[in-house]
Amino acid sequence: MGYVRSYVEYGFYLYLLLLAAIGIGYTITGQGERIDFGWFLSSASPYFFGALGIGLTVSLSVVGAAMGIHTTGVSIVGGGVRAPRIKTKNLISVIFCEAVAIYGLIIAIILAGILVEYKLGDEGVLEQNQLSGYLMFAAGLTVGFTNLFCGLAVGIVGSAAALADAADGSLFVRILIIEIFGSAIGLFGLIVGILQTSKAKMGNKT
Amino acid sequence: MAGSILTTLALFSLICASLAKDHVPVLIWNTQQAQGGLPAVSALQYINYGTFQSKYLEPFKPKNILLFLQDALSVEDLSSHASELHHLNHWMETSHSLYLPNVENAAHLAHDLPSHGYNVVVLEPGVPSAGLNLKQQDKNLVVVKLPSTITNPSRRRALQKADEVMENVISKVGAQRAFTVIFTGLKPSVEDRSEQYEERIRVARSLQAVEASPLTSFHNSSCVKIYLYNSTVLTLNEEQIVIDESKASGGDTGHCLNDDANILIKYQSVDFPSRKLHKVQFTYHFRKALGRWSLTHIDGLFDNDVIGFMPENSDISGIPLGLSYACAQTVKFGANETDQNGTHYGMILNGVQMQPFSLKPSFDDAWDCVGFFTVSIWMSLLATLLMVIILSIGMYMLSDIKTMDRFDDPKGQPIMVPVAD
Repeated sequence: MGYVRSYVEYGFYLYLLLLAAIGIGYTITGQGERIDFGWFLSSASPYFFGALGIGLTVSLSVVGAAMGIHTTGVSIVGGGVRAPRIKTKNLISVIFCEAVAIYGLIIAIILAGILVEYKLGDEGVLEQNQLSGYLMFAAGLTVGFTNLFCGLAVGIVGSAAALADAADGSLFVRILIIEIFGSAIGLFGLIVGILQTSKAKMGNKT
Repeated sequence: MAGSILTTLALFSLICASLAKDHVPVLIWNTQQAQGGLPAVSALQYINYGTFQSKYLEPFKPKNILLFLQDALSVEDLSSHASELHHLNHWMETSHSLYLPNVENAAHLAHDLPSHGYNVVVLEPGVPSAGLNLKQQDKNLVVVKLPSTITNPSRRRALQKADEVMENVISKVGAQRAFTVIFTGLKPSVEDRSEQYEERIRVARSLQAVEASPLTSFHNSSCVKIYLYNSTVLTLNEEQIVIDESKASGGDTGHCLNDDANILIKYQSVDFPSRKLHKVQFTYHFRKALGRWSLTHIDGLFDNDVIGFMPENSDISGIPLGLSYACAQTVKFGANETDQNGTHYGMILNGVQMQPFSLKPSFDDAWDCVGFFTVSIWMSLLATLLMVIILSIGMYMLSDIKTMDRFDDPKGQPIMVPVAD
């Protein structure tokens, strides 16, 4: 299966080549002004940004949590073979990883409640909805990526904690402090995400 | 530089030639001579009489000429009535023949050739040709006047009759000598720029050869140009009327000042089923900022009411200066306010191209209302990219799975699985 990796790489390069070809094509035919990110950002539907935000929130958080639990779980199970006493105590690492996923879930549910259909009517309705769309997308990125890396970090530290605990029981409490710091960064993402979603309001009323 | 001068001179001479005299086609053939060896003739060439005689008739070395003169003949007759003139086609194809589509004053041959030493004999229709006396040594010119075709209401039958007469004469007289036969007309049957002519010719012709009809749907003034593909459609409450462009009183005025430009287009009157508007004027207002221009609004003056129209479906803004806005789709303009009587107006342009802030006589490159990649396409491309990235990461991780090799023993015994009987 080693060749699959190279296929994936080539696929990625092909995609980049396609983007470059489109860009060159536009420039050569004198339509350089059409490469307009501002136009895209302002014309793209708020639904696109909102829905993408919701998807990114929960999926990235869960990816982080999953990788964390994967790392920790393997170590706990492996260490538990020789030192069964570590099993129960080290589940707390898994809970920290799981919390990261829950943060993502909370934000996603809040965002899903905000995503409502709107109809253009009065002035300011479009702007309000566009703002909401951008906020939801940004909240998705914020919460998603912070939880992703938080989960990774907590997972690796938890794995080391389990192995250290198996070797020497007194080490565990100290290592837990490192894990708590690691978990705090996920919380930061949650806080900022809440701040962003508080301003997001879609609908027909301004 | 020299090439362009020559081209303009050539075009000019063609135009002068085409405007000067009537041209008729001339067909020359000689059954006794071998085919080939004739100068090439282009379809656009207008040949005058002198060239015709010296350059095109001489290669036939005509000793005896049989000249068929029809009262009216054009290229259109030869092409659209080819089946009626089947004998003619046959002769042209099988003999040493030449077809000259545009010769000026070809019938002058009958008067000119006697001076070159030809004996002229004229055969009228109805006169038997049996008593034709042609001297052996002399150069003979037999002129045959074909029956009148102008007076015949059916052109098809007239040409068929002419073909029959030619066949008749040639079978009786042609055997006597080796004749060079010429078939031509006194004047063209389809006049240039007549209705029949316009109907039949293809549209591909030089603009200078045809008088251009004035483009009333092109409005031009100082620095603003607007061209309407189809006319403006004005809606009054529920009624829709197409504003006839021929009612546009010309002299569109407009001015450009700093960052603003406008153009005023006036129409004489527009008749709605419910009322008649005596004065209809549209003022298009443009503004430029940061290297881009936009159409801010259109003021419509209907009799004494001024209504402001704003573009509804497609936003005409953010177009770079130096590019014109072109839209082949319908551009709708709506008005917020109503006039004194409470009627709602609307304006629809089915295809328009406009450009302000440009002093050139023609439009610059077009900025179309529909781009190549629309927003939807970009959104879907981005969403797909995200999924492709996820897929690729997944595939990368899958390909990275390693099997446990801790207990592998290359030198050890392979596992024996007893086969149950």
